[in-house]
This record gives sequence, structure tokens and C-alpha cells, in this order.
Amino acid sequence: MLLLAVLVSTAVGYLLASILLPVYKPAWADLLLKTSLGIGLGMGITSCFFFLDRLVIGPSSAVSFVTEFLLLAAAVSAFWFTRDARAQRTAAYANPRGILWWLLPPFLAVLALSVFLFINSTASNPYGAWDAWAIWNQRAKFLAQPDASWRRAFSPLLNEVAGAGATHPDYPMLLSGYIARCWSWTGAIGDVAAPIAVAALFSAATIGVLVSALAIVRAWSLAILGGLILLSTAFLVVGPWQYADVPVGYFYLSSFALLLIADANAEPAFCLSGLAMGFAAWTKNEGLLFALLAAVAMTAYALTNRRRKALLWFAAGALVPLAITFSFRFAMAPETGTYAHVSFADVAHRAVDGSRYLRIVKSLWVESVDQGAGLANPVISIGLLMAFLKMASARLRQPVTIAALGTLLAVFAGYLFTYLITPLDLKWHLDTSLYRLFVHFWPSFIFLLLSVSRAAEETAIEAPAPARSEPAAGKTKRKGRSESAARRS
Amino acid sequence: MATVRYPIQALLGVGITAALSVYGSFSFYDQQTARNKMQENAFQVGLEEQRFAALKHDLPADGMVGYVSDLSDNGILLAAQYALVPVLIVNRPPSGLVVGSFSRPMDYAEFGRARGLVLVKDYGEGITLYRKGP
Repeated sequence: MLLLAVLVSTAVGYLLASILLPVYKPAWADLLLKTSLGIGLGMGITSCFFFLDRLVIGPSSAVSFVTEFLLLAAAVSAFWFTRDARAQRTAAYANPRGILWWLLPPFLAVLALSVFLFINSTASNPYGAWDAWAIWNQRAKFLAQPDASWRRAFSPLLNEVAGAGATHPDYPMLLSGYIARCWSWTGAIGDVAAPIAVAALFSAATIGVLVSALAIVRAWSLAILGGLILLSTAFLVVGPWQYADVPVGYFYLSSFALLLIADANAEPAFCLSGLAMGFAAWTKNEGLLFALLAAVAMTAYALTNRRRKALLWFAAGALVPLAITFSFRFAMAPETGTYAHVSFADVAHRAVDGSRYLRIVKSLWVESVDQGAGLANPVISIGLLMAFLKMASARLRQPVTIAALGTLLAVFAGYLFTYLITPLDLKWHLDTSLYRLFVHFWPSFIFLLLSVSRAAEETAIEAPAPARSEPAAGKTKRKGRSESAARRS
Repeated sequence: MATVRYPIQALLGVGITAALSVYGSFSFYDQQTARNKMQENAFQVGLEEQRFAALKHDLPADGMVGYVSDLSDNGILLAAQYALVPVLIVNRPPSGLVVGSFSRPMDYAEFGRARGLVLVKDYGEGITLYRKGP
């Protein structure tokens, strides 16, 4: 039943992505992109429906099944009726050309290694790391209850004994809601298979979106290198923890990737970008900051480039998940958040404390170094790649790229500001969270930087194949070759 | 079919980036598998579920209970809450029932008496149920 639960949500997401995106060639990039988007967007959509069902009707598994099958039927119908309207697009450099195919074997090897590591980590701690059982899966257990006790998932009493910040009943509900939905399908509340599967799928889908989106908007070499670089970061370590950090990083990445795809003549994809943004807010409180800044950037981009229709598409996608998130956050969730009782005076006092800035910078340096293995650090890897291949300045100046990079940097600055004003012990707060917060940014950072890098394919020199000639009386004639350059800046 | 060649600079950039990333992945794999071995079942959540199973069966599904222990570790408390869901651990349980979780054998009844609690049942493995005394 767990497999069916996952297939249904993935199908819903896949069909939605297929309706709103063009059909891309090559087929592998199209399938990988839509499946990877389908996994995460489908989880977000069904998580929302599960929560709304419980809120409006009550904790009934039967209602949940019926709602979702109706949703699936609607998605299939919409997919069928729009099948002739979908545009075809060819990604010029998505397939390997020449020697660049040799990037595939090491990528597959690293992928296999990451699967082994995921299995090893999960076998070592099947209930995940601390926050998994103390926060996310614990609330999922409450949410999955078949009676009124499901509301204890956001009861202020959850924090009462363990202390402030222990279980976070104020946290958004995407991850816990989806796991609870899976448990309500399997009838096995607390079974470790569901949260493990969710962690694995979000990890895989993040890599899938990164590789396929880069292949479509840029080139094969950048796509595979993007995947390799991501799999050389702490993403590999945090994936099996069953936290919400990989999912929120996935939604940030999907939102940015869909922005760039939409900008390249696929306007309905702005709707999917807005949807991903909304789901980031439904996943973690940091996602609310992301949603605010992304909305501002998108609005500025749309108004300054006369793309009002793009803004409407984006807003249409973001509307429902944001409405659910804000309703939950401000009407239902208890005032138990870490920053719930921080006053303006507290903020001002901490903001002028120079030692806090030093502490944050020091932790940033230490954790940045820990994100890689010596020289094999993602910042160094991308820096080296750009040093050899150079940046495509024209792409960097594109309004959509400026909007996306600006949003990413602003969100990062926002994260640092929350550390500056945290009411918790600053060292403790940094030591227990900064390492995994990098995982929010790596996929998007890698995607956006590689999207403005030149690709090796753009430096290719094509030599036409030599023309065949008939051998004359036992001798082989050799013809001269001519070369034509295919350089593009 | 046309043959494609790349400038050596491009191949070096791609090759070095790929090699560094592969090295990084293997390095993380080595470090993390060693860490996993040391931290196997670090939180013993599954064990807590087994320890509390019999007690949980005797509690009302929508109940609220208090909590006492010989250890003040937040992790042990949170693991107990995870095991007891949907029963909620609170400071002032309306039912008067209090769950005890102990790391070693002791006189549980005496422990309870010192805190105004009456021992209701000893479930073994350091799990007890108390009721608030008159």
C-alpha cells in the first residue's frame, strides 16, 4: 500500500508537470524532469489535501482515498484533453557529444555510492536523526490518528514538558502530513518504511531536478557535473536523516529551475514555480522567508520586464499552498516558535553585539569547509570550472537570473540574521543547525551558478566526417579534410 | 557523423571538477560509514517503543499523562513521547496518571512516594505507572 500511496501522489504531480511544461527532447531529460517534479509536487499537493480533509471533514481514511482518486482522475482528464496543445522543445545540448559521454560512468558510480550510503545510514538509525523522531515523525504519528487526537500534532502542550523548541507544534505540515497520509494508507502508524521512503524520494528527486533542468536549460556536461558536485556535499550525509531540510532545498531548487525554464518560452511553468515556492513555505518556517523574498523578486522581474501574465501564472500556483500555510501558521499553530517572544529591544541589543557577528562568521567558515572534503569542496569545484570555462556574462545579466540569484542571496542573508537575533544560545544554535541548513542552498546554488557558466559543448569544434571514396585497383584514396569551427560565446 | 573535439582547456575544467567531486563523494562515504558504525541505534527509539508497548495498551488513546524519571535527559523524554503517541505527556495530567521511565532497577514505589505518587503497576524494563496520591 505504501507503494500505491507514493505512486498516486507522484502520478498527480507528474501529470500536472506534464500539462504545464512543454514536451522536451531528448526524452530522458523530459521524463527525468517531470518525474522528479512529480515526486515533490505530488507530495505537496496530497499533503495539502490530507490536511484539509482532516480539518474540514474529519480524520477519515476513506475520505482521504476518495479525495485523492478524484484528484488523480481530474489530473488524468486534464492531461488527456490538453495532449495536443503541448509545445515541443528540443534541448540542443542535452545529449552527450563526443568524449563528454565519459562523464556518465563516474556519475553512475557516485550515484550508486550515495544509494549505498543512504542504506547504510538508514540501517544504522532507521528512525532517523534526532529531529526526525522528536519533531517530524512524531507529529506525523499524531496527524495519522483516526480520531480527534490528530489535532495534538499542533497542540501547545506538545512543548510543555520538554521545553521551548522541543517538538515545534508550530512547524508547517508538508513533511509530517505526507508521512501521516502514507501511514493512513498502510494502516501502520509509526512504521519506519514511510519516512525512509520519503527521505529517499526527496533526495533522488533533488538530484533528478538538478540534472534534468541543467540539461534542458544548458547542457549535458553541466548537468552531470551539477549532479556530481551536489553528491560531493553534505547533502549525501543529511539525506537519510529524515529531516525537512532536503525537502525544502528541493522546493527552492524546483522553484528556481522552473523560473528559468518558464522564462525560456514556457510561460505556464511559472505556475509550477509558484507552486514549489508555496510548498517550501508549507515545509519549514524558513520557507516562509523564501516565499516572501521570491514573491518580491518575481513581482519586480514581471513588472520591469512587462511579464504580467507570468506573474499571474506564478501567483496562481502559489495561492493555495500559501493560503493553507498562512491559515495554519496564524490561525491554528500555537505561539511556541523559537522567535515567538523575541522583542524589538532583544533584536536591537543583539544586532549591535559585535561578538555575535564574529561567532557567525567563524561558524560559517568552519561549516563551509566541512561541506566538502578538503579541496573537494563545492565552492572550489564550481570556481575551478568557471576558471577554465568562464562565465557567460550575457546569461548572468538576464533578468530572471538576477531575480533568482538575488532571492537566493537574500534568503541566505535572512538565515544569518535569524542567527544574529536568536534567543537561544548562539553557539549551540549554530552548532546544531548550520551544517544542515547548507543543504537548503546547495542544489539551488549549484544550479544557478552552472546555469550562467559556459558549457564545454559551447566550445566544441566540429569536424565533418570524411567523405567515402571507392578504392581504385587495390589502392585506397585519401581525401583532405576541412574543418569548421562551431564556437559560440 | 561529425566528430566533435573540445579545447584542452574545456576538457581540463570538466575533468578536474568531475575528479574532485568523485573524490569528495568517496571521502564522505568513508567518513559517514565509520560514523554510522559508531552511532548505530544512537537514540534507541525502537527500543523505547517496545518498552512502553504494554503500558501504552493500558492507557486511554486520548489520554494525558505526567512523566517522571531518574534521568533528566530531554532525549529520553522525547523518545518516551514518541513511543506513547497519541497519549500526550503533560505537566498537569487531568487523569492523575504518571508514567515512570527508569534507567536502572530501584525501589519504584519509594521513588513515587517521595513525589506524592502511588505505584499502580511495574511493567518491567524500568517502565512503571503511577497515580497521584491523595
